[in-house]
Amino acid sequence: MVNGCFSYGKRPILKNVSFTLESRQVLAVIGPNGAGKTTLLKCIMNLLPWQSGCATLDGQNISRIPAKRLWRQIAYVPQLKRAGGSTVREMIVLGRSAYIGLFSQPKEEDYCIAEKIMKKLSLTKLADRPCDMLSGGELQMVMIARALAAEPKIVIIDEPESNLDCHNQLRVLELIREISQTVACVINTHYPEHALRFADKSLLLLYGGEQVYGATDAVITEDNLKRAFNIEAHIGNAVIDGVSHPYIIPISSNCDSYAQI
Amino acid sequence: MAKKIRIKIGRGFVLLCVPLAVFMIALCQGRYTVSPLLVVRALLSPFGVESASNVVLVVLNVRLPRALLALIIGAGLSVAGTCLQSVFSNPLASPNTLGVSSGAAFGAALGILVFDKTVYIQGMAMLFGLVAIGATWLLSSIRGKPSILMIVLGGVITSAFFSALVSCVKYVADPQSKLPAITYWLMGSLSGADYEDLMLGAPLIIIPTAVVVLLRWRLNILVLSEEEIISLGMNPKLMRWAVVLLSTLIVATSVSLCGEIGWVGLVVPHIARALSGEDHKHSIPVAISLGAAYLLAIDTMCRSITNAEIPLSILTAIIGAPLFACIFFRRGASGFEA
Repeated sequence: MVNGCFSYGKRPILKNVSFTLESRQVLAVIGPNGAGKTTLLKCIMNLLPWQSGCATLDGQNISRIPAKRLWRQIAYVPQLKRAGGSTVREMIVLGRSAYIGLFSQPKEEDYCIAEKIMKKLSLTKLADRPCDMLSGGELQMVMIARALAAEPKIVIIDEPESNLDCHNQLRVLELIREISQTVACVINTHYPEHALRFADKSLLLLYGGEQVYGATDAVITEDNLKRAFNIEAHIGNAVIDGVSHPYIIPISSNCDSYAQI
Repeated sequence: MAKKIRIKIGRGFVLLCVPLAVFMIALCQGRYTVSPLLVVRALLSPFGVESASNVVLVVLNVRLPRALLALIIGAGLSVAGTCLQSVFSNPLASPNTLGVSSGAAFGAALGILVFDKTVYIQGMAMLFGLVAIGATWLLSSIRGKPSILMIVLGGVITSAFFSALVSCVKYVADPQSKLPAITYWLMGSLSGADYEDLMLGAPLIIIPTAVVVLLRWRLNILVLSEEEIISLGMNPKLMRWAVVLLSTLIVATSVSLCGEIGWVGLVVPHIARALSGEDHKHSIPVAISLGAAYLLAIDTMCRSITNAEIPLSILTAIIGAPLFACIFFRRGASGFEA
């Protein structure tokens, strides 16, 4: 990912975004509403064109990789929407699309891969349930399962935990941590705390296209939160049974440093 | 494993038997009832089996081409309806939604008014069916890339326009000779079906239907959002238009052969889904089987209930509308919210 720029009309959204992501890492993209988080994800996958710069995958420009090959390596989970009436199993098998010939039907092997993933994500008991009967948390798990069915190198998830209750938020984030043992993950999130707890690297987007990138501990700081979100916050660490859990308490939204931005 | 295969074979057998049974009944039934045994003998008569000449005439020359055409058109319209419902993620989409039917109907009406020769009438129906889909496409892409809403709106506009033109043709048509012919055509009828129709029209329905059968699993993906389609490695625009064009070909051909037939393309896909689930891998074969059987059954009723022929659209609607109401009440309105 080198020097990506993007703008809607004359308004620059992203300026010289650069980052690298290794396999088995989680990158969190954080930023206030409208800072261009989703836009960045779409640019990475070439769903939106960069104005300059490019994203590369194993040294190859992503915009030049043919679709079928690209989507065996990158899987995308868009923001949660209502799904149709197809069953969970059918939905997950759709993830095999990039491996299946245009005029072919999914084979036994593709169903096996779907079954394996359902087992891993404990979705097996939902296999024959129509997707429009699932709860938000279950549907998000199914969408992640569909992404994994492509056996990708990178999974890109747009706001994986939005609109979920705190149990399901934790479940999805723990799942992302788990799948990052085999793939690289890029997630968008509104919660700096989630980045702090679950991401190796963070990219904090500010208004006007500027950004801060680095190891999460170095990016999510009280100063940077002030710059990005215009809040006064306290970052602390709770040690429970010998394991430390970082937390953030937002204290006040009235911040006089606003003029600096 | 073995059980799975047995279920597969069993399902295929049922799907084949339903239209076949209706086919046998259709060949027997009519104003001149023929026993099934005589029908089989008549069917085998080209291979040297002896059979009475009047039975051969009725079965082979009159009923057989008509029954075959009904099977093919019924299957084709159901497939086209399923495709359009998938492409537009809209359970109310049908061949009429895109203006194809109206365009083709106008072509046919104009053809009757000007030429009076079947081949020309069919050619005109095809031509204007394609003109209509072109107009819908143009209207929907005036303001940048066509969204689903714009395509449906374009279809509504095109449809209204061609309906007005049909009225216009009817208004100027000679009320003694041409007007009844046009009106009768528009209500749909297979009464004129012969082998020439079959040779001309059948390939234009069978080939696109076969392509859709091969593509059927992809229809599951077309229901999703554009970004999801891309991220599953497909080109959404290309795929959508390919499927829409295949459906247009089927619909325009069927209108050119037997006039506008409503309801088959709307109701049969819903029944197929209710029976086999949302996966198009299963619902397309079911839709083909049911659609073929449904239209043939209705056509058989059309020609045997009364002494005079009843136009097809009247019965497809009289039977289709209550069926649709049943599905609607059973699935509840939630099933229809896109």
